[in-house]
Amino acid sequence: MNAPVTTTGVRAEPRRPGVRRRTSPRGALAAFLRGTAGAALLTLAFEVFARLELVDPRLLPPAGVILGEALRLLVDPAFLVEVWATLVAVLGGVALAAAIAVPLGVLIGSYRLAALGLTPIIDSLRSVPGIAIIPLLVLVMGQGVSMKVTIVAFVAVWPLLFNTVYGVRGVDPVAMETARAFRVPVHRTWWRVVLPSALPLVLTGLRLALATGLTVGIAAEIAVGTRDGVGYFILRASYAGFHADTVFAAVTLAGVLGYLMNGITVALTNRLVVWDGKGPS
Amino acid sequence: MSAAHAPAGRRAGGLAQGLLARLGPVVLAVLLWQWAALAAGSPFFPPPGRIAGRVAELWFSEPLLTERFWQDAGPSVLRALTGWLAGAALGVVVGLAAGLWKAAAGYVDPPVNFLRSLPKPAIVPVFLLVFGSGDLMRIGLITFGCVWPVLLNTMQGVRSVDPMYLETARAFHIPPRTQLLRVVIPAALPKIFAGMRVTLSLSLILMVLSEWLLADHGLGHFLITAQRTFEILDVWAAIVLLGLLGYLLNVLFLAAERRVLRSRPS
Amino acid sequence: MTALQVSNLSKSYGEGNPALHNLSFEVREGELLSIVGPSGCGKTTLLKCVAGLVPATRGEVRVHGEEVSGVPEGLAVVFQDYGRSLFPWMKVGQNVEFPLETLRLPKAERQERVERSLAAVGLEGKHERYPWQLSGGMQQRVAIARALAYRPKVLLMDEPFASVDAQTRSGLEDLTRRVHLEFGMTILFVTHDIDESVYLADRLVVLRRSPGSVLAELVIELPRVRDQIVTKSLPAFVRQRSVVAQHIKDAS
Repeated sequence: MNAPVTTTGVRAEPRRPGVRRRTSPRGALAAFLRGTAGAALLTLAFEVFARLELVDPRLLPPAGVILGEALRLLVDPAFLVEVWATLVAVLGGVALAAAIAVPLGVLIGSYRLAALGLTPIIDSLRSVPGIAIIPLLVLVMGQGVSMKVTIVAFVAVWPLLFNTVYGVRGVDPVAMETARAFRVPVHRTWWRVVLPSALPLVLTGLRLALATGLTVGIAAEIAVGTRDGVGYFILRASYAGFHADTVFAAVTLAGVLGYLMNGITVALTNRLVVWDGKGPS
Repeated sequence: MSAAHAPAGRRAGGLAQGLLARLGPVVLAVLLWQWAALAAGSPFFPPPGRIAGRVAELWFSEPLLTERFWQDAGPSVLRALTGWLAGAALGVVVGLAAGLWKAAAGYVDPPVNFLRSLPKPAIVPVFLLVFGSGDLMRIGLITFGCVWPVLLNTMQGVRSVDPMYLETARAFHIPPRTQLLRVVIPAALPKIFAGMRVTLSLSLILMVLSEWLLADHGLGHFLITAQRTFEILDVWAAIVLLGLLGYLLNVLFLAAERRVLRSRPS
Repeated sequence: MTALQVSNLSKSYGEGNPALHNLSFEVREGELLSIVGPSGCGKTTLLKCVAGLVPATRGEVRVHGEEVSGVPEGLAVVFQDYGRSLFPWMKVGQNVEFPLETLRLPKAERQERVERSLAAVGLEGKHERYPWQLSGGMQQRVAIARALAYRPKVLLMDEPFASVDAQTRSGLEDLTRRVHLEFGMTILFVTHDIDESVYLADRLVVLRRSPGSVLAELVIELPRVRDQIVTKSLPAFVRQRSVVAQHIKDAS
């Protein structure tokens, strides 16, 4: 099994005490302005590239056109319905994955024998590229939401599982000894000591699971032509008389969706885990 | 605790026990699957014995690998690996530049973060239409998908190089080029590898998806054809082969990573 | 009355690696016994055996006549690593209350015990803070309050003040002495600091190292109520401190 990973795939390191960044409002504004400037620069480069017409403009519209179309889509109920469909499938799948992965992760992280026995099974299951099982799922479950939820759960379960396992293994032995010394029963120790202590890593797993779930959920929508979802919307706009601006706008908004899901999870983590890096790690 | 006085003979017993704990559940799971599949008799869930037979028949007979193996898996793996490596190379080069150029940090990060969180399959139709359906499109697609995590990680790796290292290097008058090759890159390597590990599985997903939508050969094509013609055994066989390839690539990658990073404290 | 009896206790981690060898001593009801010894003499191992956190290899530990197998009832531990023993996801009040939930006390009584014990360590009104928002000395006081609220018959303290600064340390020593008299509980106090061991103890056991075993036992002849400056300049204190120091020096 691999080390716990953050969204960037880096081994998660607990923040050192005291270095939790407190940016002043002015610093935050400056950072936001710089970021916006960077994004604007990238957009401008895209605009110039498209205007050069090295690629047929019917295929590669300029950035301005795409942004205009994106703004239109943002208030277009027909598009929002598809976003909702994707969101429901992704959130449902990740919830299902969490319901399986977190208890299983606590088990594997707590008992060496469980880890020994289950690791080979887990390793072989997770080696299968998630989307490879989509054709099978379609045959068994059809193309509806249950198929999407299942495939999202199948890929989202791994980051949650591994991060939970490492979170549980990382519980401070002194914290466990303290609980034992006060004769706290096992189930209460799990709830009050093990899970809170593993929470930062579990939430990192959740962040990764959401990103992977969205990726594979959209892949499923594109691959099998489900009847709804952002992926299906993109596929339809691509094949039914290619509306390049609509396609690019939808792709951009899919990116915004991923960005927002990531941002919301980070914000949630900061709210929930006020203690990270300040005590037992 | 009995372990404290365990005689030497118990060690071997412990090893056998460990092996049993490791393999027992796998064997049990496969047997259970076989039994359940036979009992259920569902056309969708053939017993693992038949799936294994089909995998062997399709790809692993004749001395070692069949011609079909090279036909089905060869181009697929080649595309995935080429795209993955190209993405990694591009990501490292741009990431180094962006990471070293401190003033650019605030400007570069948000767009790169955005591109990284873009669900890559969403761009597959775009690539197909804009760049056609040739191998170049597929490799380009995989490259585009694999660039961002590596780029981001390289950038972060470069930025998190302990300034003490660089000050030491400067104090000894080490020229900038040597500093880059001998200090900055080695220090950023663990993060670069971490990014490449993430993109390895992404490259397989993009490979399958791109072959699936428009291709006349390759594993993605095989898989979707099997599904459309209701060859359920072949669907299972393709899943197993993809799993095997995924496992193999991961093992090779981890071995390479361990070799390169062997002197690092974990 | 014997509160705690350690008889012929040995503990080894693996073959030929004894940490404790044939240790025997007892702690009387309501007594504060210091255990002092150089680092590596197995003080922490001893404490964990007494607390039932690790099983003994040979010999036995009895708390109020009951042989220890697993953590005995009515016992609390204050660890050296307050930063790791206080749960950072619980506020100060929750940390103190947490072990009480296991005792199935009614909410009102739990609250009252939390109030009282926080007051006893001078941390009134800090319930809503997180431990990591407090200084090291205050954190260790929270750990002591947690142990007090539990109302243990026997309190084990494992080098509790080793990682706080000297000033805070004398304050915490006086606090320990005060709650010992006030709550009348039996305390086993482990330390490597000779001054501290003499200043706090009613009776004192000196350990030697490799493997840890009892070198000497002495009764401390100091008044029950003590003071950092007055007590430490008493001839009895100076003499007994030298005796302990000599024992430790001779053994190494």
